[in-house]
Amino acid sequence: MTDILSIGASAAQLYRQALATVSNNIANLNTEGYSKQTIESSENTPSKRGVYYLGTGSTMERTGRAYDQFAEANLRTAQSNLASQEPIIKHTNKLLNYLGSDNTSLSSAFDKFFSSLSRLSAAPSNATLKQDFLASSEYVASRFAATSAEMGQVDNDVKSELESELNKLNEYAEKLGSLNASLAKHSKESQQPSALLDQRDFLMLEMSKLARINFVIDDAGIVTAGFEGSSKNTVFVDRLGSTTVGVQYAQDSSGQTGIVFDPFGDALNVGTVQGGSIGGLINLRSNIIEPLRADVDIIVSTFVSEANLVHQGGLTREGLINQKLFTISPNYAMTEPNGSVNSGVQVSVDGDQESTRLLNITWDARKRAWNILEAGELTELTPNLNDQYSFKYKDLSVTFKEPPLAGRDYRISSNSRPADSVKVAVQNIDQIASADRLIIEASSVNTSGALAKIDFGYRSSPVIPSDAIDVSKPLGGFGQVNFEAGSMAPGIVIPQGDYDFEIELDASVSDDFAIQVITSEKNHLVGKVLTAAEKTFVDNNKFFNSASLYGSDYLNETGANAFLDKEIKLGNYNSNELSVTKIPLQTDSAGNGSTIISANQLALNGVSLGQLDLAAGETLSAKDIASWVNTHSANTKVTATSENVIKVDASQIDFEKSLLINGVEITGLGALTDVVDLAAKINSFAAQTDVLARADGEGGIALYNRDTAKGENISLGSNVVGQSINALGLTNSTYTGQLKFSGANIDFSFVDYAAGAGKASDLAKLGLTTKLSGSASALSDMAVSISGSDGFSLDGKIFVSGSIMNRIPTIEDPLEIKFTTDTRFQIIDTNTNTVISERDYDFDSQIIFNDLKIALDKMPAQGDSFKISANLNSAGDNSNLQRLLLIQDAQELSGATLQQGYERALSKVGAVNSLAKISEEALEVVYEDAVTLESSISGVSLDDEAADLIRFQQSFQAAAQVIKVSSTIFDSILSASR
Amino acid sequence: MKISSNQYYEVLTKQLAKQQESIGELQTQLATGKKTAVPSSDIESSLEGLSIKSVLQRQSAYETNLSYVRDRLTIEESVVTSFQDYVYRLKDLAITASSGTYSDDDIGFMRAEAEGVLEELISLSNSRDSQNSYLFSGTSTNIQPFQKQADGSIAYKGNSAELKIQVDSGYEVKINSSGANLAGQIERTNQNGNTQNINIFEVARDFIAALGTNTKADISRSIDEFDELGNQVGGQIANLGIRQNLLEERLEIIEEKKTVYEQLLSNIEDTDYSEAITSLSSDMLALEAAQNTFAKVTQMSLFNFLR
Repeated sequence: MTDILSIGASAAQLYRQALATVSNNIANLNTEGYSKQTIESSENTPSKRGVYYLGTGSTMERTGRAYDQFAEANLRTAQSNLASQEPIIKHTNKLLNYLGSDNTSLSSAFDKFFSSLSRLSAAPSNATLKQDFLASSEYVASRFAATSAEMGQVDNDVKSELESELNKLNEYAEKLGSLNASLAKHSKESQQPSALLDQRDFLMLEMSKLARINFVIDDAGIVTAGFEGSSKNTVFVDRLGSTTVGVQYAQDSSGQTGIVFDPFGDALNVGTVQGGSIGGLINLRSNIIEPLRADVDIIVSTFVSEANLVHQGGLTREGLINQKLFTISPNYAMTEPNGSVNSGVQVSVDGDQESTRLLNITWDARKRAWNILEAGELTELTPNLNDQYSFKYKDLSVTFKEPPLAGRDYRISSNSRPADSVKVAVQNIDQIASADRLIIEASSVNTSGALAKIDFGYRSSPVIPSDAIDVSKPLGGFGQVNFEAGSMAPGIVIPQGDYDFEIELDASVSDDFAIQVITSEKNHLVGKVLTAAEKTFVDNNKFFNSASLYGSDYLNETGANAFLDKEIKLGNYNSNELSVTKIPLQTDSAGNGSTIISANQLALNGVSLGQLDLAAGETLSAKDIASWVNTHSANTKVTATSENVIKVDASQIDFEKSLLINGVEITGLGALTDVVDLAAKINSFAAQTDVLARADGEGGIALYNRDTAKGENISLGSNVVGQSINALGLTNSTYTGQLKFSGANIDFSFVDYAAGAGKASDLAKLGLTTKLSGSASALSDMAVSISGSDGFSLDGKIFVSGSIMNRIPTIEDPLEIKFTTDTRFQIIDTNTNTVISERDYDFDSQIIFNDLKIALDKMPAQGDSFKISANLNSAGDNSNLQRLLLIQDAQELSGATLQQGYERALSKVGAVNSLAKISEEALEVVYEDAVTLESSISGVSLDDEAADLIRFQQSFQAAAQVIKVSSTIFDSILSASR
Repeated sequence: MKISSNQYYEVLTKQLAKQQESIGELQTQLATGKKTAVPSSDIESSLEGLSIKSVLQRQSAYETNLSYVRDRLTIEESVVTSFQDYVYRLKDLAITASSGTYSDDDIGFMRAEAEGVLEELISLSNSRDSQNSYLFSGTSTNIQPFQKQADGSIAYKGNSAELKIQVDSGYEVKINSSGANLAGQIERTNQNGNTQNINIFEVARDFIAALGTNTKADISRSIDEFDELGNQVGGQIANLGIRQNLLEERLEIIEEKKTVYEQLLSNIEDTDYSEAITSLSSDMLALEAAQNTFAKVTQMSLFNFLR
């Protein structure tokens, strides 16, 4: 039906609704997330009148939502990008303002330290200035700690901000999840209530502020959300709801931060999170804060190690060297499983230890005991009843502020942040090492008038050839040492130090070599006089100081004549008793009788031993040696006894095989079954063999000489050709017996080693090794090498005792530099009057000895002497302070000074800061554009609304007029019919 | 493009805020006299400022040290000058005594004076500086350098080490003079032809002994010896003078350096008032304009016509 009234009524209805929509737009002008609504009206179905159609008015279709998906997405991206800069700027500002300001920068702390040091160096004995220097050292250390703490505080702020941003994200995600549930009621987005969609878009926008998130919107307008670039498994909002995301910090100091999906469930790592405040904060931690802290740590540890190096080289008023100026010891802290710090425990450490440690501590409530696990080692501690929440473990004191939870694993680890834990080691002003450790004085009788200066730090560690053995390295036995043929190359090196050594070498009877010990300054201490060729080898070997001249004044000397009065013994030295269990087989094969050891080769307790002969066709036996040694007993006070006991293990015995003892066949073995019978069988032949046997009580038997033949050889064999093992399971051979020497001392030595009388092979002939023992020199390294025609590979063992690691623990004994001619000088150890080195003087290269450089200001003259001694009376010496001052200009930080390194570290942060500021400005423009675009679509403009208001009001008035017209028409019709 | 009403207000307020911020910044600059109130606003200048301040602090330390050395050298100079005077007084005595016109009593008085002069020489050589450190004992500054021995001889207990201090990076100056130098050294040939090295104290003691016995030959020998020793001390005075001059030059260099660096620092840190004030007035003008337009523009609305 079509009539004017209903057309008018529908229009009035439509415009009333339109006006309501406009009013709603105006009402929601300031509602966050509100999208402008529009009226969508449509023409009513026209009614057909014969051949034509008449309109039937209009109705309201629905209210539309001014919305553009792309404008929204655009805005979200702009939002994410912009939001990522803000935390970077905020926190780098904090760092820069702290680290870069006059009062709090490390730069000013270094300035204060060095200027106080500079003032002290002008008056090194001034107590006030010393105190000031200590105070400024304390100040530097405290600035390190404060700077590190400040950076740690910023890091903690970043962490807590990150956690709160994640909480926000989880909150929004939860809301979005429940919104999804409401949206599920309709299948088309266009059917969804505008308010819900507005809310949805608003949440998405807010989430974009937190991170760059990939939103997927389906037809019904339902949203799934996951971090951009992460896998589908970690989508944290879907149509069913939301899943929490959490944070995890790396345990190490890498500053890595991980975002974890469902932290209390699957705990999947979502990978890199970018953009938004969360992305910005993560980036800030790993790329700015942590590298800055690492830079500062390097600056601090470099400063400390440089300062210590110099300070340790100097002498304190207390007369000590090797004193540290600063110490670095780690801080301990308790960490939660996710890596954050738990402040509920206090740990302090005694002493100065620099390695990092990890402790797992649990409280056993039932036993009332602490279980502490460190490096796989479990310790149970029962605490004091009055104070059960604190305990001492090794060098740590641990105090829990709150009662511990039973069974929970508390992790306590030491962090390796040097900056946190620098302390001043020097306790009082007398411990400041301001002076040189040594002083050099020209003798008053010098004729040249040359003045000498001494400087330090020139020591290069010994050149230890790669194939040589360093005895100072901790090792028990070294197995084999290879001595190169005839080159005098060091096979073993004894670096300088304060320790004793013993080197045992196992030569064979045929080895023909001489053991040589020569210092790095070419003092020949032990050995045979060198040939011209051997001297050339020494001169050309890099181990030996090329500046030094070869000297043999101390060769094989003993007592006060020895090098530094410490003799090096060569031979085989023993007290009370010496047993020899194996004498090498030595047979007179030519059958004419032979000499095993010539007269006056070996000495026993200083007594030269005569010739050791072997009768024709015989093999040297223990008895032969014993009787040879005993001929000298009256002088040597050593008696030797011999025996020959051969042990036979039960398991080796084979009754099927044959056995000859001393050439006599022991017959009837095949019928035997046990060792007692075997012993009886052997004993039954004793009259012919001179050998007896007895069961040894362990299932085996022992063969031994009859008393009349004690110590003689026993030969074992078999009469089956090709059978090398006899019935006793022993190799067919001559067994030479055992020796025992008794006496207060049993010292075998060589009669005249320098001349070649006595060799290691002579001792080997008696079944003895050759030992080299003595003390390392504090002043030069020593090399053990071998002269002779062949190279040798010898079995050996090394024993070392004393302080090896600390090579310069005390100040050197006094030295003298004495010019024996105008150009030749000796370096003499004054206490022992030992010439350590003799050299030719060269004005250009001056004198470098160990870590010392001695420079003369003009050419010296014969007879000049310079004394070097401990600089104990130099209250006014500032030399070491001067050296400390040089650290200020030393370029130890990869080419930069401390100051420059610090500025470089800061300018890196500064660059990030300004870049972020520029980016923020640029992104702000992008964001503004995106906002403008979005608001041009969805925003409410009052002018528009005013225009609409007028438009719809006029339309409504017109519609009302239509109704009035229809009413007038109706009235006319009614009155016409009246 | 349509601009929503909200957006309209937001843009306008943001702009106002920005202008206010810039005015605030300028105001701080003018109030503090510094360009950058916090390092984060211009880290490069702040870092440069830090390193210049570090240089300045070092210069101040060098300056302190130089003044200390200068004072010390002044004291040394005055001591050494008096020392020389006393040496020449001894020489005068020797000339007088050698003339042979004086009685034994007179010689006795001369001897008493010579003894007094020797005491003065010893106490001068044991002088201390303002830090109570001995001037002439090398680095053993807490040990009295010249000590009387049981046999009456004077032994040097100091050392010959040089004490240097840094007065510029890589530039060190020596601040002490060795006591051995002060005491001098001359060669004396004995009757038997041997030569020996002796110092002022030995010569003075021999002179006193010679006065005691009135041995003319020994007295006249002293004249030349005192003369030579006096010249040696003179050489030291000259040397001290040279060193003082060098120090003065250094001090001037440091002063100049300081001025240059202070100027640099001022360029970096201090507000350029004329520039800041100009910017401030232009910013204020801009803000005023923005405020006016804001007020006017926001009044414009279609609703005004709906009345």
